Amino acid sequence: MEINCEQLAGDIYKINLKGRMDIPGNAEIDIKFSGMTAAPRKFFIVDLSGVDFIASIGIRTILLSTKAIHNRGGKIVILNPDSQVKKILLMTGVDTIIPIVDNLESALAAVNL
Amino acid sequence: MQPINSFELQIFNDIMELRSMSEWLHNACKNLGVHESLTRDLDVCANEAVANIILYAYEDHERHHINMRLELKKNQELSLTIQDDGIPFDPFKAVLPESYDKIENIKIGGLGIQLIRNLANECKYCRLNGKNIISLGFHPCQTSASSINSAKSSLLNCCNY
Repeated sequence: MEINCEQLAGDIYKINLKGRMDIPGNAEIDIKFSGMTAAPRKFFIVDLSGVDFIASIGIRTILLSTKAIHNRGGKIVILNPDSQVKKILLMTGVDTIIPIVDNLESALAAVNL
Repeated sequence: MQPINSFELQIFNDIMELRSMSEWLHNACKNLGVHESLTRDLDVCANEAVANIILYAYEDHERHHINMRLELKKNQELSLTIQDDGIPFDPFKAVLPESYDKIENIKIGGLGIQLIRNLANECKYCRLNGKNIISLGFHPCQTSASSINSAKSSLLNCCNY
């Protein structure tokens, strides 16, 4: 998998993920993902448009960071997941914890609320 | 000549085998004319089931075989069978955790088996001749998307937020 992070206005960080978020793929990014979402950073947009597969291991990585982000008063939003990935996120109730949006404007609004 | 209606694969208990397994599954589904969205559901189920076996089924550090079979039955049902020689374990007997409450209480576990339960139309387990056998049934005409809402509550329970 590939991962990179860009800083947007207002101390919002956009993390872009690409590839298969299965166990081998997740192993390539989970430490970097935890690092990119670590304190003191608080506001995150996770762009999943380049992820074509997600298994429970990938959801676990996102949720573990989310827990830490929420604990320090931060916000995280998922941007533009592919239809199958979105189905898995909805099926696991991720959308009840993390807003899932399909454009950057909505993502920025969600973390700025 | 009869069309081929089943495909088999044998892999080892190595997590890196998951990728070749997925490749096999996609090729087999393509040959069987399985719709892309159902193929991807199958891929998630196979990944979760086989990962569980590789990570938890063996008490030694030896090489073990995991056998898989994908079959399109006469009634158009797809059947994915996974067989391993690990310790006896029925994944579908796992007890769902109590309902979740707040995000502060996130405990993440059991999501994989819950995904299988909700994506597959049928989940069966048996222990036969020292082997665990999981059989997953999929009805191509019935999309699992329609079951998202009903699935969600039980999965959230399992996620134990």
